[in-house]
Amino acid sequence: MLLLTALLGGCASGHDQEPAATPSASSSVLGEGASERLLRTRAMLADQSDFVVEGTIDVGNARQELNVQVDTDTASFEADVAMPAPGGDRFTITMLRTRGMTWVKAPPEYWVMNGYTEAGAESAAGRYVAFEVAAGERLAEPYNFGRLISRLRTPSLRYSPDGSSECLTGTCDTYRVGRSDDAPLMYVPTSDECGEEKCPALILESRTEGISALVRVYPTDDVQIDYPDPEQVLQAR
Amino acid sequence: MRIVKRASAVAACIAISVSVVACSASGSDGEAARSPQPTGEATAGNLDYVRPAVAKDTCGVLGGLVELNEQASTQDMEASVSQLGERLQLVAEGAGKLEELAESEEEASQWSRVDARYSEAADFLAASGGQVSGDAFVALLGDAVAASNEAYAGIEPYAQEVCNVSIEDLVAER
Repeated sequence: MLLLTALLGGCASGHDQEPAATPSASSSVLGEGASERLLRTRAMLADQSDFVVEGTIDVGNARQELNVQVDTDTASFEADVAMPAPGGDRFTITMLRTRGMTWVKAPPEYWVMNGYTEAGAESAAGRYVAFEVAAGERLAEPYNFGRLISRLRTPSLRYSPDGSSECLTGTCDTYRVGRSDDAPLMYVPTSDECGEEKCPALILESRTEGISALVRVYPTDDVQIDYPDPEQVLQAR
Repeated sequence: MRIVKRASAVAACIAISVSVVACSASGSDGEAARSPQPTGEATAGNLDYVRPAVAKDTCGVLGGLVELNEQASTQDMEASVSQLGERLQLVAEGAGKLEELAESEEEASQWSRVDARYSEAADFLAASGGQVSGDAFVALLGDAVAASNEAYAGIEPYAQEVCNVSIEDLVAER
C-alpha cells in the first residue's frame, strides 16, 4: 500500500481547486420519476460497454484530474491523470491497463518523485513502463472505473435512495450502491439539460482507503484500447 | 536500460524479473529419442539462433525450425526464458516463409495463422517487458502452439517423406 499511495499521490500540494460538480444533499426524498430514471440508468449500464469517465481523485492532500477511456468488455482502460508535481507545477501521466497488465507513461519527474534515479527516469521519458502483474493491478485499482461500472450492473445490487442533491445538471437522485460502509454514491441527473456542458449519464462518488473519487460517467461508442507497441515500451538491456 | 530505484524495498515496477518457467515456443519437452537431440544437461547461455526463414525451400525452413528447437533445448532456463521472445519471432518468420512456399491456399492459411499468433505472442511479451507469467501471455502462447500444432500435423508426412526431417518434437502435447 505504501507503494500504491506513493505512486498515486504525487506531491501533496493541497487542494487548489473546488471539486468539480460536487453534488450536495438538498432533500431527503427523491423527485418525481426517480424510479424510471434509475431503470433507464441501469439499462444503459447493462447495454453499454464503452464509457468516458472524467473527474477527480483525492489522494491525501493531492488532487488528481482524470480522463479515463473505459472498455468494460475487455476490462481495459486508458487514463490520463494530471497530478501535482514538486514546486507547484502539474504533469500528466498516462496509465494503460489491458489483458491484466498495467503500463505507465510519465515524465521523468514522476519517476524521480517516486524514488527512481534521474538517469533511470530519463530513460523512461516518452516510453511506457510495464509493471509486474500484481503491482500493476494495485496501482491501477483507483482508476479502474470499469470494475466499478461492472459492479453497478449486478442485478442483486441494492440501490438505496439517499435523497436529492444539487449537481451539475441541477438536481440528481442520489443512491447508495450496496450495503457496505464504504458503498459508493451514485447520482442520477433528473434532467438532460446541462447548458453548454455535455450531460453525464451519472456521477459516482467513492471513498476507500484514503482515496476519494468524484467522477462523471459518459457512455460512448468508440473506445479502443490495446497494449502499447513494444517499440514504445522501456525494455531491459 | 533499466530504471534503478533507490529504495530497494519497492521492487514492483519495471518488469524485468523472470520468475516463471516458460514453455518452449516450439514444444521442446518431447521425448529425447524421437529425433536427434543434444545429450547432457542444458547448460548453454544466450545463443545466436538459426533463422529458419532464410531457407529457400520448405524442407530448409522445417529443418531450421527443428534446429531452433534443439538449440533452445540446450540452454539453461534463464537464457531460454530471456530469449523466448526472439524464438517466438523466429518461429513467426519461419511460418511466414512457409506461407509463401505453401502449395495450397489451405496450407498457406494455416501458416499465416501461425505467423500471426506467434507474432502477437512475441509482441505482447516485448510490450510487457519480458514477463512470461501473465495470464494474457500464457493464453497467447497457447493459441500460438495450437495453431502451429495444426500446421505441423498437416505437413508432417511431407517433412518425413520428402525432407527426411522429423518434426515430431515441434508438436507440443502430442
